[in-house]
Parts: sequence; structure tokens; C-alpha cells
Amino acid sequence: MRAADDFALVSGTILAHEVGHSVGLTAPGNLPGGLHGDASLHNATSGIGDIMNAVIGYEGMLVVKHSFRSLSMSFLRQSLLLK
Amino acid sequence: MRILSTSLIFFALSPLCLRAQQEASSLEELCRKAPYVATARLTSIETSKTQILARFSVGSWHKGERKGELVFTETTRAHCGSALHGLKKNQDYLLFFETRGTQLRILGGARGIIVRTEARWSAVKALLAIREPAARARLLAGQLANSDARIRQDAALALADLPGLETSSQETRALLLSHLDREIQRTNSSALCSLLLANARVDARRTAQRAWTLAIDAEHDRQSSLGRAVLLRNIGTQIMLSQVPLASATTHGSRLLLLKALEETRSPGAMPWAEKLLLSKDLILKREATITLLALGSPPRNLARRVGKELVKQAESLRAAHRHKPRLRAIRPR
Repeated sequence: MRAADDFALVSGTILAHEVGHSVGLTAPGNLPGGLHGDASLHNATSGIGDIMNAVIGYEGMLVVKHSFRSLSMSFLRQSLLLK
Repeated sequence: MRILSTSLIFFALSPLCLRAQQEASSLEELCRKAPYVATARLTSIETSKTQILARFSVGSWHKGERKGELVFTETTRAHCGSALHGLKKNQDYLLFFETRGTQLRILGGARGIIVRTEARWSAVKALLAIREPAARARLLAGQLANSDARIRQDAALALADLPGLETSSQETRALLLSHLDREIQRTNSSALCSLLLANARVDARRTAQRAWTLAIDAEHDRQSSLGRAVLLRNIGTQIMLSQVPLASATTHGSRLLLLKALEETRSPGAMPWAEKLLLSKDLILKREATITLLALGSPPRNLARRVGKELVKQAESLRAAHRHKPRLRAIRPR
């Protein structure tokens, strides 16, 4: 069952990443016009566990808790809830 | 209906995940998988409402060969896998690509088209030349010290699942360990996870010591869960329990994290360590140690004799309330 759990977690992480793109993450360029994204709409300077990182390995998705970083979360809150 | 919709989601996601894996985009994997590798200059880029068209003039072929200029097209809207956004005319690039029908396609999206610098070219040239697993591991371990972040991070990413890493030399192993130590000092390193995974493959015992250091780091939650996950998934319970850093866990927070990791082993072998923390004068720690011991299978009656009935009762109710909550993950048939 661990393989199924792993697959579910990886699928969920990829899905969240792609949904992030579909709602506007991560705009290229610096603030205020962009959200520090690169040309391919991924976070240009990304730390550990950032869901909008361009490169996340399969095993990495399983051992690191991935989430939207604070700036991305603020953008999502503003664009999806407040606007 | 629920089964049908679950199946549809599963099958819709499967190709996405598989493609993400097949197109893993470290320089090492690109060099291995791309049928064509070339240095080329972007001569023109045209963007219409629906399409981007980029033309490249090849300076030199490094793997495979084709005649004429290289023409790539993709949709204008940027997305995961798009490669042609943000390119600069007259810039030299290293291109990793394949053919699909009559079309050319960059591998790994934007990761397969990189600005050519001397450092990147040297790294790619070496990766294209060296195929023997142990030598390749040594090469990648050397690239971990490169000043170019792309080369450095890709080397770490590749080492985590490099075939034959286990056969690498002592020198390579020492390099891997020293780079892991360096990344641990940096609090938000994206290479840390890959280096932990690579080291776990070649030296589980020493990696366990490092992973424990991260696991009991109460100040950095993400690193802590990473350390715990590597211990549990990649190190194995026996080695993990042989390296429990009880003496290093000096703070309240680090001891709580240590107990959490012990509980997650679900192994009776973790009991002696949890029992040591049961002797603590810190009441919260004592209660958490009781919860851990209950989870590991220690009989409540035995625990009650040591810490009192009241504390065991508290621990049992807390365990019922906060632990083992069902998680929304894989759907299991009943």
C-alpha cells in the first residue's frame, strides 16, 4: 500500500503545482509586476519544499512536505478570495 | 459513481506523473536521454497570438547530428514544459532535444535549453564523455562544488538516483558527505534533500547521524520533517535506532521531535529510548514519552506503575484525540 500512498502524494503535489500555474503562479520578474518567477513561470529562487519549484524529484516529493511559499500564498489569497 | 470518478482522476494523472519522471531534467539525465545535444545561437524568435517560433543556427554538435537550422515551435501561453519563453536573440544556448514526427522538441521544457557558459559546457562535455558509473558518480560529486547553481543543484539531483552510486569510491563518498554537511549548515538548501538521499545509499550510518540532527531541529520545521522522513524511509529502523542522538537532544522541543520520530518507527526496538525520556522531570515530555510508548505497544498497566494512572489516562485520551487521524491519501478498498 506504500506505493499507492506515494503515488497519491506525488499526484497531489503535481496537481497542486499545475493548479498554481492555472491561477497565475508564478508571474515572471520582480515585484510589483512579477512574483519572482522565471520565464517558464516557476519560482526562480526556490528553497526546500516550495511547490512552485521547477525541479522536484519523485523521491523529493515523498520526503519533503511541499507547500506554496508565503508570497505565493498571499497572491492566491488575494486573487482567489479578495478579488 | 465515486469509484468511476476516482478511476478517471487516477488515469488522467498517471501520464502527467510518468512524464514528469521520464523527463527528469538534470544535466546528467538530459545528457543521457537526449538524442541530440548542440550549441546553437538563437537567430530569430517570433511570437504570434497562438505560437512562438524560434530558429537556431547550430555552432557545434555534441551528440547526434542534423542538417540545416533548428526550428522549434510551441504555444504562446507559458506552462510547465514550455521552453521558448524568455529567450534572447543572438544568445548561445546548449540545446537538448529530440524529434517527434517531423517536429523538434526540447526535452524537459525550459530545463533543456540553457544559456551556454564555459562552466556549463565543461560540465556537459564531461557528462557526455564519462559513462562508467563510478567515474560518473565521482564527476557529479565534483560538480557539487561548482559556482554555477544550475550545475551544483543538478549534480545533487542526479546523484540521488544515479545508477551504480553504491559502487562509488571512498573519495566520492567522502565528497558526498562533506557536501551534505555544508548543505545542512545552510537553512534553506534545495540540494539538501537530494544529498541526503544520495548519502543514504552509500553510507546509511553516517547519513543517519546527519538526518537525526535535522530531525530534532526544533527551529526548522521543514528540515525536521525531511530528516525524519529520510530516517524512516531511506535509512531503515535498525540503523536509525543505533544512532539515536539522545545526548544531543538537550532542549524540550528537540526531545519532543525525537519522541515523534521514535513513535513513527512503530518498532518495539524504539521503546528503550522512549523509556529514558519517561524519566524526565518535564511533565509534558513525560506525557509525550508515555504516548509514544503506548503507540509502540507498551501495556498501559506497566506504564501506570511507572508514571501513575492519571498520566497514562491523559496520554491515552490525547493519543485518541490527536494521533492517527485518517488522512486523505490513497483510497483503500474496504
